[in-house]
Amino acid sequence: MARHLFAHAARALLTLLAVLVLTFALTRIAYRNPAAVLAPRNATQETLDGITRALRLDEPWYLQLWHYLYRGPDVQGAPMGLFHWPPALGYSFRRQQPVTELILSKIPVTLSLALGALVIWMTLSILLGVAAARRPGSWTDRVISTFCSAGLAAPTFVTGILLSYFLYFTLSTYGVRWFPSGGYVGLTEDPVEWARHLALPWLTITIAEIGVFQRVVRANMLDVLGSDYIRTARAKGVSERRIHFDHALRAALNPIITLGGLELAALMGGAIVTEQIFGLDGVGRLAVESALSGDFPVVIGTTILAATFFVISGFVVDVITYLRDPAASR
Amino acid sequence: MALFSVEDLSVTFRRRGRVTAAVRGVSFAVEPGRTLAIVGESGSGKSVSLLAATGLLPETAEVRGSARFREADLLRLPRARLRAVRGRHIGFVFQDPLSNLHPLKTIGAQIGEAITAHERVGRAALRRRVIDLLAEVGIDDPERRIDDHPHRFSGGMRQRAMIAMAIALRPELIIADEPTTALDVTVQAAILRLLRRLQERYGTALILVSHDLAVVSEIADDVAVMRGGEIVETAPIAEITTAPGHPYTRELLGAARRGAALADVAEPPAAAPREARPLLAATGLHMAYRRRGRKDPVTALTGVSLEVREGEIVGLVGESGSGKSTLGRIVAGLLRPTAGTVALRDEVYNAPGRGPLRLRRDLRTAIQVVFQDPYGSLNPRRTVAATLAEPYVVNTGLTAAEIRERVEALVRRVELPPAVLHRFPAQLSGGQRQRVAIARAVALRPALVVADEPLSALDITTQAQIVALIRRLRAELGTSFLFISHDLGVVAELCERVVVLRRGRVVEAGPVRRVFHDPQHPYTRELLDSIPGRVARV
Amino acid sequence: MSSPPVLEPAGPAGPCDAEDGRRFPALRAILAERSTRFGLVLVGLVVLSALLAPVAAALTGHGPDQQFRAEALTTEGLPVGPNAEFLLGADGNGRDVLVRTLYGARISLLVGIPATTLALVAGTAVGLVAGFFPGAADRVLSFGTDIALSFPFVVTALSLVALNRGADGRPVIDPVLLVILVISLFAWTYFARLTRGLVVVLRNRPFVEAALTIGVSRRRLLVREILPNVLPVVAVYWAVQLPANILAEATLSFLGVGVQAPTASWGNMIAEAQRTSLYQVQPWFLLAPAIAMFVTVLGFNAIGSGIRNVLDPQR
Repeated sequence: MARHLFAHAARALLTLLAVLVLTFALTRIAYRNPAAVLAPRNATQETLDGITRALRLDEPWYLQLWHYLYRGPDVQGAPMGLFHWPPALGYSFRRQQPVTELILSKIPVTLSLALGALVIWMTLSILLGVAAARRPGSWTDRVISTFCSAGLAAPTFVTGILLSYFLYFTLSTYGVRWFPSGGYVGLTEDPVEWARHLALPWLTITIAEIGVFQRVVRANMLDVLGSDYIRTARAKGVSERRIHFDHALRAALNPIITLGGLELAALMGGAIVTEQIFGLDGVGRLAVESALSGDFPVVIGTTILAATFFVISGFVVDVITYLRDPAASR
Repeated sequence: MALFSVEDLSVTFRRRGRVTAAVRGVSFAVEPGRTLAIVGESGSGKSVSLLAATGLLPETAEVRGSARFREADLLRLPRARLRAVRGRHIGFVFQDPLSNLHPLKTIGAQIGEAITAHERVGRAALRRRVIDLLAEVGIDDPERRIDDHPHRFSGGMRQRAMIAMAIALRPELIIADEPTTALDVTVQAAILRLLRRLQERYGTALILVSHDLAVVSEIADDVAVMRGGEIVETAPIAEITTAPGHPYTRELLGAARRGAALADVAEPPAAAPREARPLLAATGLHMAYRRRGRKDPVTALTGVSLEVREGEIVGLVGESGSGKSTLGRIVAGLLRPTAGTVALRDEVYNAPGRGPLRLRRDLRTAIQVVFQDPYGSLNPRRTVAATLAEPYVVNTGLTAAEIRERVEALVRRVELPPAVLHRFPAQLSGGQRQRVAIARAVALRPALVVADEPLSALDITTQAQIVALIRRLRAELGTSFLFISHDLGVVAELCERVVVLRRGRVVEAGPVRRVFHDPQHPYTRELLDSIPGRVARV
Repeated sequence: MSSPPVLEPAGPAGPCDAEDGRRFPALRAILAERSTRFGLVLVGLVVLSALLAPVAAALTGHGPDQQFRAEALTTEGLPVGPNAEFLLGADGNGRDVLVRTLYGARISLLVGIPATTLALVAGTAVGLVAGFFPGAADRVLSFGTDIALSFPFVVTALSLVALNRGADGRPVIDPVLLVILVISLFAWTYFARLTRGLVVVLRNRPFVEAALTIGVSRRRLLVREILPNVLPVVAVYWAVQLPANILAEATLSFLGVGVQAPTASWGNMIAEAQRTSLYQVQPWFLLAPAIAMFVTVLGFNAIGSGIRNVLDPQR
């Protein structure tokens, strides 16, 4: 039983390793002159040579990979190689910062965004999904489902822009300043401002995610409600409310947890568009800027971060599923 | 005064514009302390009528008529009142205890809920009551098992737990919908005895639904026979069994008697001159395999040997877990044993080894299979004609026209109308599908057909027809059959010899008459005694 | 690219599952669904727009990439709103918003449909092999699928597209083609997982075993028995994936890669509107492509919903 979790963990680590190697290979293949790409603009030949030496770009590729994966020489005083704690993901010459430090500084923003949105959309989806499943085909059901699937149809950047337009711009022309246009305030600095600044981004993400989740909750609930054991509960005389929230929801939750884990991981990899529109300086924004400018140490770093979240979330979901129902995972 | 009476009940289902009348104008009643049995085959509407009467059908069902429980018409009660009746005054036991118990809640929690839905009870007192209930229904070590989840219980124990839930508040009426159908024969008898005992102790009325008149004859006082959504006959049990009025009742009775009266096993037809060597010989078969996530391998078969002669029908009987299906698959060449061999006409074709078995064409076509699930064994996206043509296409070099001819002949042989050829499996009845599966199996004139529970998914009348078909095919084509079944009555009727399996070992084998009349092994005796109705008051 | 919901394998919804023998009852039922009809209308509108875009350009005299700075921009350089000349107004460069929106439909369909189809073909092939040949093949292919799924879509796509720069700075491969390839590179995994799951279930169905006892070869089994049962489900999933891929293309062009200005794509139109904040002056600059996008995705989603209602009814 715990064996299969162990196997999952092993597979997860292997996957991460493969992602690492692939990303690394991709960037090394593509750039003919990596130093030129990495260096700040208008760098002199001397700087370029310095970079080449520092990053060991003149060494054969397998050695470079080894430095990256295990331990490499220090770059500008910063450690290099994954066998450090925290794992050193390289050095960005564009920004003159170690990649790990760079990413870690952006994580709180993305974390606040992703986790906050997760809580909101999960709660709403479950409530709306259960409500829709209680009376399938009814007016309530149709209205809820239409509203939620409409949210699904708009891409996040459109929703974000529209929300920004209506809830910030239009409101501010009337002198109402509930929601700011963007920016981030740390939780520890000022919780109220933190929430206020994140309100619109959370709403943007929620609108997009509710579309899928509400439908899944509703479908799973209906599926479970047709089960024999629900009929048994009714035969015992259990109240409808208890049947929906205790019996049915409990059984219907597994696929929702799985999906939630996947979505959270995807968001942690960077709720890119949302961060862009609302000026949130998170991992996503960092990743996009680096990808567009070719700052590949950062790109590798953020890709690995995203892949790690994906793999971890898969594992955690597996553990949760196992804990909830040992029989199912046999 | 009737405790529970249903009058002129009708149930209609509406699905995407299709209207199906499942129950039409049905009436029955049960007196306090008495047992009413509702008997009919699947699709007769027996379960539906009871579910409808107690408000347990989904909202898409339209229910008309009246269902009175002690003066109150359940169909007209407001929801809250109806909920108060269910569980407290009417207890339910359903067919498949695995799907009828919540997989994620402990047994103790589920039984406790039956109580707390209607009464307020403190935690400690509740636990005490649940433990007492578990003990009452015969579950050992109730203090420990109360915290187990359903999947840790065996089938019989789960059903006992369901019964505990049903009697928790000492209801006046228990509705048991096919309570023993999903269980092994030996366990069935125990559950019926438990129900009877509880009934006598608490004076509960019981409505028992079943497809098997024999099961019911053990404990019923009155019987209502249903067919096609209508009640065909209602009478006390003695009358039904001695002087059935309706022809359908007589048919059901005949099928039930088959099990009870094995003494009348017919003499096998004049046997063909016995060949010296058997057609099929399985020797010392051993099958063990690993289950996912488990350390110890599971042993399905140990030292099993059996023989089938030319033109013989051999029955292979056993309960679930006996290994009979595994044995069938090994004989069919779908599975390799871990030890032992199987030989056809002295040529070994299956032995331990790696990788799937690859048989020579003549061997492969000499042994064919008919599976249990007639729908699952036909490709839903191919017409009958295409499915039946497949054996010829794959194994012979015949032209399309010749194949078409053969297929038409095949269809006639299994007594199906030629129109069937252009239909898809979903458009055929269960019996028709099974005929198609049999046709496919005999297409290339195999020497042996392994039939793995070919009748279980069919209703009684169809079963009789398929049995007759198998007999006829044996006579016409000389095909031998290895007939795997748990139904001793059918085996007695159809087979010449029988092999009894228990937990992977052969406990007894021999001519059917001898084994069923004069069983040597205690297990065979137990199996025979468990046949419902055998020790009946018939 | 968020993961799509899992579509359960359809029950026995064969070509002829009605008891009365009418052909394709499943198809009829699907077409009778309100969602499907609604969706078909919307999608029809979009396809029509794509087809008639050149007609609109000809009628108004405004090409999609042509700038009309004199007529379309005010003296401050701000774009005009809807008037007789420019039915939906102009964008920041004086181009006709209506015409560009109609041409944007072409891009969305021209990228979305091939990308999804390519993903379907590749993913189904992988899934079939992985599901049918258990053991090494399955493990390797599943591992590969896992790896592909682990890569974050947007960042990797951006990197790949950003890499598409030759020595002279011009793109090596046509950007539109590249976007199609990149999207397929991620989307195939969903088809692979779906197909593999289906095949694993089907492999254990009695009719497959029955075919084996008749002596059907593995290849014939795969093609004749399994594939016909897999294709309908996969085809439905195509309809479900397509809007997701259209959104993916829009996201990429919003972020500045893929289809570049001056070619009109809904994504880059919205990006321009947001970047210049000109939508505050001329809202149609933003609203036209946004609504078009919404209608397209909603339409396909509705069709997918209608199909799902028939094949997997919960009502």
